[in-house]
Amino acid sequence: MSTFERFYRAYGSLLRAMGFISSIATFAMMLLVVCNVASRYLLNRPITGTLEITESLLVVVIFLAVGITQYDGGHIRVTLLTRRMSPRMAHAANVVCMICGALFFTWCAYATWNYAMQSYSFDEHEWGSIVFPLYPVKFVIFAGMVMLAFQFLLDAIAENLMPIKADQEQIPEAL
Amino acid sequence: MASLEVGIVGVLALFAAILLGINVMVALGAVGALGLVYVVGVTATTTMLSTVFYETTHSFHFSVIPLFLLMGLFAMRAGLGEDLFDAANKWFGGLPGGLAISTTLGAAAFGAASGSSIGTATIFTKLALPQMLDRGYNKRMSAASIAIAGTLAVMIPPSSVMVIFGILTDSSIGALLIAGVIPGLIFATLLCLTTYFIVLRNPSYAPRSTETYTLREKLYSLRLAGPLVLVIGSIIFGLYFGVFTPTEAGGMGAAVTMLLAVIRQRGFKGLHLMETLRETVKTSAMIFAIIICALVFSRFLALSGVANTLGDFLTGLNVNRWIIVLIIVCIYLVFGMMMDAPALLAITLPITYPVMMKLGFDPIWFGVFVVLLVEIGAVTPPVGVNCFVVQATSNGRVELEDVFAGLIPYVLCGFAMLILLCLFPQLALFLPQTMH
Repeated sequence: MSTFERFYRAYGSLLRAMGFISSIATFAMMLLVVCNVASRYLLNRPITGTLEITESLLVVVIFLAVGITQYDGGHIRVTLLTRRMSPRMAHAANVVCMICGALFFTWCAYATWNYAMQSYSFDEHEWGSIVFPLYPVKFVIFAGMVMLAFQFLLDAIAENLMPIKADQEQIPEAL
Repeated sequence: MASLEVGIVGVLALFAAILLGINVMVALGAVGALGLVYVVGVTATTTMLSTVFYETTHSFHFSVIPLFLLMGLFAMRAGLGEDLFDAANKWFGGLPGGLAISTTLGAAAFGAASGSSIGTATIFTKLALPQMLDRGYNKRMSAASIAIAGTLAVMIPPSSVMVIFGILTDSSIGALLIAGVIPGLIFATLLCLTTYFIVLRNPSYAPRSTETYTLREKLYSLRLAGPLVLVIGSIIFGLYFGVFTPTEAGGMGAAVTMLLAVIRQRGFKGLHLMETLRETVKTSAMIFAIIICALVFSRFLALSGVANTLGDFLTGLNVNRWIIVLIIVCIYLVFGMMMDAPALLAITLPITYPVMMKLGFDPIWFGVFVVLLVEIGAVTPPVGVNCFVVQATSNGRVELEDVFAGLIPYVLCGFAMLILLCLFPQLALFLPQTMH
């Protein structure tokens, strides 16, 4: 296994770990929502802050999972044409696609970093039924964008350095 | 270049990028952002990019998506489809074409819970296809009745595709979910009738079942299928009567389905909990990435004025607005061949939605209409995703041609449903208008 391949896989493990946190957050979201409904109807006492916590949990769920989704090839692309191209053309098209992704999400990372820093600098809080700082989830968005951009970059390099990965249209079972 | 021309170039660039194989989210986001740079400048675009991710995901209402997906995956992983098919078969298997009718009904219930048309097609191909073929059912009819039944999944709530429409168009998610109920049930009935009449005309297509079940057996078959149907029913009633929000419905649905799954698998082991959760978050991330980038693109289209101008142009054409609906139907059927529902909605709605609103259509009605349309696209030859799924899962027992040939009456039935929706918009609008 080449050094790059080892690095690629190690980075994949990091993304998988983030995906794990995201999974836990999803389960926690389900429990929280259910307990809130149960508590509201059975005890007539909703759980304080369910709304606010669920909102922030969704951000965590999504942005800690965008990286691993790209690693596993789960972000939808149309391969109608590239499948019919010659291997060289398809290879070039793939590199272009991955670089576009890397560039776009780097831009997004820069934008969301500014946004998170702004929130941090004036110590932005959620002022609902419970009070907690909002900037951490904004940094999670930034982190998600960085992980995603970097994975796109690695995929672009992998096109050249790693044996061809099975590249097919992936349709998630859940849709 | 005037803004309008930039808008048109943007639309063309989007399709070029997607065909080149650029991820749909990147194509939408990058073309949208570059277009915005041209229309409003770099700073304003970066500001927009900085907020759109947070504003779209920091939402209680949109949390419904991972919860619906979770519910669906629990239902799939735990084998609840098997119970539904078994129950439907015990109750309706004696009818002409009974197995195919049971498949439609089982898939309607299972699809409602799973919200997944591909997932439903996969599972019912494994469950129902071998049984139908072994019983001597016609290959074409068997395969087609499974492929089309998947489409019911997105009509009957809970349905994440309806939620995606709601987020993209800023319409009420609760109203959209409820709006799918009546059309979904009517469509299920129409599909059963189609099978019934096919078999009536060609009795050899479906040898009549001689098995009979006692009432006791019938009732016993409902032990897990019954609760699942009850869950779906309570979600619908809960939403309709305003007992809970869609997100709460999703949470409750996921939890109860998990419970049923634990009972069926006798413990957590067969549930593959971590794998199910990972699949859920990955699909959620994929959906939200596309939605967010589509919002960037749609902001660009709005600011460039192309959406407005196109709307004005079409309304100024002085043709009957149904002709425009017909054009839109054709567009969706063509693009439905290339991609699945979320991507297709994300790409097309920024253009078609403003046009339809300008023409005076109801947003909720359009939601039901377009979601049904997208699903019919998923079974229409030459490239219907559901058909590939059926063929691929059949272990070589049916050919793709069989599925397509068999689908003709069912696709016609789908068009009949679309026409019904056009003639009687109240089918979709009655429940949302009277809900609490």
